[in-house]
Amino acid sequence: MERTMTGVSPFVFATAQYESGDWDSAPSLPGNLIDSVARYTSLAVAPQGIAVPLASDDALRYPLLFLTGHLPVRFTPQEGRVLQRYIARGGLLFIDDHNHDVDGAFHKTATEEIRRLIAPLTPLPNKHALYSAFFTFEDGPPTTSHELNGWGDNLVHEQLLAVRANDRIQVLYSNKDYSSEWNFHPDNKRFMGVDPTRFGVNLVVYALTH
Amino acid sequence: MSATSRPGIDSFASPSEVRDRVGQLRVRLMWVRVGRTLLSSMAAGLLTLLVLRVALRVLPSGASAERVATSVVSGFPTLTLPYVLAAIAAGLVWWWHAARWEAITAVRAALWYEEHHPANHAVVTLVEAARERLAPEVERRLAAAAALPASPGLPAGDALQRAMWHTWRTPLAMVAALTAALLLVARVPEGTVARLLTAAQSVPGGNVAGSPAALGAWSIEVVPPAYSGLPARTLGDSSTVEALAGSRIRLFGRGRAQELSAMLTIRSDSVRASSSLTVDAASDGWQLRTAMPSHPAVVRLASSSDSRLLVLVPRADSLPQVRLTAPLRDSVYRDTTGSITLTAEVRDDLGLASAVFELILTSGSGERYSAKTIALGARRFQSERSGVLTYRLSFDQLGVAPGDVMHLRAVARDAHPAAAREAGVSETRSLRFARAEEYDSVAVEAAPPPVVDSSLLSQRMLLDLTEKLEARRPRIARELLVSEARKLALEQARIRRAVSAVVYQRLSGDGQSEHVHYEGDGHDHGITLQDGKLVPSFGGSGQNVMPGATVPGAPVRANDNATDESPIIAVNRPLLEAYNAMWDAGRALELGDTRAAIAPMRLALAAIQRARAAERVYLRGRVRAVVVDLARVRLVGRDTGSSARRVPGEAVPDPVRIADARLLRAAEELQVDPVAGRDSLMVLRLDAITAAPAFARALEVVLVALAKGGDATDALVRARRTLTQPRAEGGVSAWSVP
Repeated sequence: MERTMTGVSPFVFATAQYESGDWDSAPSLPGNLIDSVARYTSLAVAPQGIAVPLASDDALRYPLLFLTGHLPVRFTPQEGRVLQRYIARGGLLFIDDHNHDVDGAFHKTATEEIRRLIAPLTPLPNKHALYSAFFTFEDGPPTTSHELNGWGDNLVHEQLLAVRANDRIQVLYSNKDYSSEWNFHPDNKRFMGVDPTRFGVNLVVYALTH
Repeated sequence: MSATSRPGIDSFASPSEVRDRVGQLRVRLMWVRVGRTLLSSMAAGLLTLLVLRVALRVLPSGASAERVATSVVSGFPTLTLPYVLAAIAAGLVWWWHAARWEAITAVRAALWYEEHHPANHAVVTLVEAARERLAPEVERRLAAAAALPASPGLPAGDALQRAMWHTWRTPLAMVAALTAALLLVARVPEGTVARLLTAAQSVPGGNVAGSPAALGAWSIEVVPPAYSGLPARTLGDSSTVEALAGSRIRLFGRGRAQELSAMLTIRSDSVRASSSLTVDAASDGWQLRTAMPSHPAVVRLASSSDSRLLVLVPRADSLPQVRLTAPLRDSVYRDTTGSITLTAEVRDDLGLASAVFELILTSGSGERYSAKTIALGARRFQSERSGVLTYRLSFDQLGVAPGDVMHLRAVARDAHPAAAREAGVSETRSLRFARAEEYDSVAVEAAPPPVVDSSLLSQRMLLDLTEKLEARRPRIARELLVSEARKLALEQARIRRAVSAVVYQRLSGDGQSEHVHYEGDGHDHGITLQDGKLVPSFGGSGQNVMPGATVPGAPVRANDNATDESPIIAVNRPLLEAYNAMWDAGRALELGDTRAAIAPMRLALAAIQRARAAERVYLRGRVRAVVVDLARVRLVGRDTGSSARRVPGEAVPDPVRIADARLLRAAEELQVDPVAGRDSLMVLRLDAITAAPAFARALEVVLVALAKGGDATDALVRARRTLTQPRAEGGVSAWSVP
């Protein structure tokens, strides 16, 4: 990881690559969030994201891991070991259900795997520090335009799920389909009245400051 | 002496019998000595035990000799050590005695006999003469002198019993006394003496009547959970219990329960909690009950002046271990028929209850996925520690389709009754069924999404414009209508070509649109061009089996004859329909017939919508990298041009002055070279037609004059005045008349 002139390693947005599913289902999301981090903050950020195999120790180098997909999630033993070490070392794993379906295969298997490897997911209070880490979201996680789009469970999930240790988020789980909401080229933000990726900035800032 | 006054010689034992009886006596004497040694060794061992027991009672309970010994002999069982020491002491005494033994020979036995029954050494002589051949008569006389009765029996039996008692009574008494002492000491709790002494010092006058309850030796009863099938066990005075989590533990001892309290504290990295335990009265003392927690814990039992700790070390019931041995790795299957064998090995530390293959079958693509979970090959176990799970999985019965993905794993459960008990799972195998279009590709490298041509009007926008033009038609001229309609026709053609590019990209990977080859040209894409429209072709037969395709103008329906065509054609049917409708619309727009164009345009729009919703294909492969221009995003970009100081540029030349200069140069050329001068004037006029029409007209007069061969001076002067109008100055000239 290169260091900047000031000696600070730039933040690298890492997408977790796992064996069982379509980990690359939101290819434009990393660039979009990197654009938002650069646009709204003064954080040193790498201009390009990276896909890191979850079975590799390289995953331990990134403070935030993004994991998404549609298909069932079954971590291999090696992936499970790395994930447990990653969490124990203070990393933050952000999982987003690209199906936004609580009855879907991704949700059922991913939550089961997290319970098996880390701990059960519990609702994250909407007043948690995550929602004021940079932008302030009074009502908790911002609603996405995909939650009621006719696919998935057609529910507006008012809370995210998380595994916490001393109120610090170790695993953040979303049913809101941010993978679809943020999966567009950053140049298209100019057509939007409100940038939907602002919550992603909170996520990055929280991961780097907690 | 008469023969009847004394017994006959035949009433005594014969010489050989005398020797045999002496031999028996010798054995008995040896047993007496062995018995004495054995009793002495036992006494030594018991004495050692008694000393250790007394030491335990004398020392304070927290620092008993037993614990001190245990700490010295690390790892040695606490209860075994005193017995080992006792055995060593007994062995030493045995050895001491054995080293002093003298052999009891037959002669010594005979001497012992004659010591108690004097016979003038006749017995000794007979025994000693056993190896020497005495005369039979002599031996008979010696036997008669020995006077051993002929009846069988041990000689000097009463003397032997007296000797045995005399020899054994002392060690026997010691053994009895020491045993009694040990039994007595066993009823006194550890540390009693120390506590008594402490109480005597603390209580004035040494009154110990109100001394606190003593925490002496306790016992522990451990009952494992019923599902485990493990037996219950009772431990002695142990300070540590290691048992299966959930085991029932009963701690009991002597004393009054009312004066005791107990606290259970769970100590682990993740959990730290305390709770009090109830100490109940039992038939012969106190008892407390608890369950082995899932985390290490300690029970603190306390009286008013003393406390003891019991460490609880839980042993977790591990989850079943499952290994999926077939299929051994992830696979991609070409066909959706056939069957495979599933095999898994399962084992558990206590016993298995059930095992099953769990299969998640996922169908769909893009944003539409459906999944179902199926349990296969379930098997129940009767608490076996290991087993094998097998199942023959038929794809046909499962109803898989191309593109489906199966996630397969084996799940095993043990007999743990908790509802939230996790199951042991194997690794998950991903089995995918290839789509038909993947057959010829080993590695699929996803192409990046095509760059969107933002200059293209959408079909919906084009339809809106056409409808507006149709609404304006009664109010505008025919020429204007045709002109506007042809502009729309051009746009329609561009969209049609874009659609055809998609069709050809799918059919052959060739993105060039509308390069259709005609039937029989040897380069068939599956479609042919007929009257400007695309219709499916079928080999070289030239037979179009798609209804409607053979009739120009008839729309191609997506569901027409769907079962008889290739999947690629079926997939592209909506786009073919859109293409052909666009062709009709474009032709109508070329003719200025906007009314006729609207219907096929709507048809094309509907077909595009169907095509958009029909299928989405996301190929796995490298993610297209998005590199963010951070400087541009943060608006901190720097000008990369020259860093030299900027200087203001020159003012734009005045066109009038330029024209004036060109006019003067042309006038001078006329004198030198009339042809060149005339050409210069002609070019100057051409340039001035738009910018300075009056000047151009004046130059035209000059050129006419030159053409006539006359003097053009006046014309040139007027032209120059046209170019540079004389400005009126303020005031009155000096020669003018007011």
